[in-house]
Amino acid sequence: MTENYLDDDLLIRRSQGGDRNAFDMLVHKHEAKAYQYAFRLTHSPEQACDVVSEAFVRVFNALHNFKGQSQFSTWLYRILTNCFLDAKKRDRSKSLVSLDSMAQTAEGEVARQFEDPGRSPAEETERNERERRIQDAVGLLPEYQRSMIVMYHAENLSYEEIAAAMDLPIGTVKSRLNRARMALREFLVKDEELFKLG
Amino acid sequence: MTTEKAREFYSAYFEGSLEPGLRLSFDVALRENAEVSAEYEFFAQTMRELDAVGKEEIPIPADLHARIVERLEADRTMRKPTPLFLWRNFAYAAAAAVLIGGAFLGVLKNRGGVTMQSGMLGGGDSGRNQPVSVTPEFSFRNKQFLIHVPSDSPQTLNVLSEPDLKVLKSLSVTTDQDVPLANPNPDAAAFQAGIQGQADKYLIALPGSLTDDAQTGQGDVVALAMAVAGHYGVPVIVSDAKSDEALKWDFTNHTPAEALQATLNSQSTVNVMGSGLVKIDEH
Repeated sequence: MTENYLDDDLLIRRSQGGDRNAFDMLVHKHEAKAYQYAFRLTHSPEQACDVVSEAFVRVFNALHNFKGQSQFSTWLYRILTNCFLDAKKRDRSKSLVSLDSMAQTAEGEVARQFEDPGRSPAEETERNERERRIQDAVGLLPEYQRSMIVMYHAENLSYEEIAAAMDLPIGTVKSRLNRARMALREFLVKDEELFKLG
Repeated sequence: MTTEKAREFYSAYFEGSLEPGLRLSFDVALRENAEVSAEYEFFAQTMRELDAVGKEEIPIPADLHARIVERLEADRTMRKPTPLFLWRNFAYAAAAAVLIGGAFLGVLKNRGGVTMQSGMLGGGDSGRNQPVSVTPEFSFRNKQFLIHVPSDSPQTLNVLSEPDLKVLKSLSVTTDQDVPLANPNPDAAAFQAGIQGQADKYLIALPGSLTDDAQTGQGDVVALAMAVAGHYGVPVIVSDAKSDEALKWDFTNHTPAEALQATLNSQSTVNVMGSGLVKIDEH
C-alpha cells in the first residue's frame, strides 16, 4: 500500500501521536492540490510555494487541535486561503507595490493588471485568448472574491465546502460569489469587443 | 423586479436554484428589461467561461516537497523547547506598601471576580500561628496577562509546563509585584501556576500569536481551555482542574462564556472578567 492510499484520518492520528513520517505522507498526499490552488490565487510559482510551505507549517503546529469535524482538505483550503491573505497583507505593509498599482474597491485593494514580461510572443499567441482574459480578470478581483471564485470554479468545491473552508454561512458564500461573478463581469464587459473576438 | 434586484439572482438563476416565484419574476425581467437581458446574457457567458479556470495545466515544481520540508524544519529549529514564556521585569513598589499591606491581615477581598484571602505578615495575635492562605489573582490588561500574589510576605510562585509539569520558573514575589506572562508561540499554550506550600493549582491557557480557526473540538478541560484561548484570543484560567471528563465543544456563534457554559457540566462555573479573561471553577 502506498502513502496515497492511506486514509487522511489515519495519517492525522499518527501525526498527532508524533509520527513525523505520517505527517510527511500527509504533505505528500495533499501538496500538489494545495500548490494548484495557491498558484491560481497568486499566479506566481514562487509565491505559491511560499503559501503552501507556510500552510503546512501551520497545519503541523495546529494539527493537535484538528478533531476531524471537517475534511482535512477543507481545513487545508482554509489555511491556504489565510496564508495567501496574510502574504498579501505583508506585501502591502512592505509597500512592495507602488500606490498607483493598487485600486481600492468596496471589498479591498485590487492589484492592477500587469503584463507578464516573461512570456514570449510565441507563447502568448499559443495561449487561448478567451481563457487568458478570464484568468487575468480573476486576478483582478479582491483576494476574498478571488479565493471563492477559484474554490468554486477551479477546485470544484461545493457551496457547503466553501462555507466550511471560509467559516461563513452558506447564504453569505452564495451572495459573495454572486458579487464576485458580477465584479468579474464588470472587468470583462469593459473589454467586451475583444472578448467577443476570442 | 428592478435591475438592481435582478442582479442579486443572476447566479441562482443560472444554476437553476432560484425558487419558482422569483424565477417567474426574473423571467419577466429578462423579457421586459433590456438592461437585465443584456447583462444576464453576458453574465451567463462569463459563467461558462469560468469553467476554463480550472482546466489549465499547472506544473508542480519538482522541488515543492523539499521546500515544504525545509520550511517545516526551519520552523522547528526556530521553536525553542523551553522556556515557553517570556518573563519580564517586575515592577516593585515602595517597601512601605508591604507594611501597609500587613494591616489588611485576614481581610477577605474580592478583586476582579477572583476571591482571595490575604496572608498575614506582622499582624496581630489573631493571625499568629494560623495557616496562611494565599490565592493568586489574574488579570488581562492591554493584552498583557498578569499574575498578582496578594501576600505581604514573600511567596514563591511556581510556573510549570503542561502536561509534563516541569518547573519553568520559580519566583519570590510579594503583593506589590505583577508578574507578566506572555506566550510568544503561534498556538495557544497551557501551563500551571501555584504558590509553593498551597494546595490550589491553576491551569492557565494563553493565546498564541495566531488565531485558531477551529470551531469545534473535543478533549479534556485543559484542551478546552487551550481551544478557547486560541480561538477567542483570551486567557483562560481553570481553577483546580481535576476533571478528565471527555468534552466536545462547538464555538459557532458563541461568546467564550456561552461556549464554555454549553460545554461544561453544571458543576463548573464560568466567570468572564471585564477584560475578557475567562475563569473556570471546577467544583
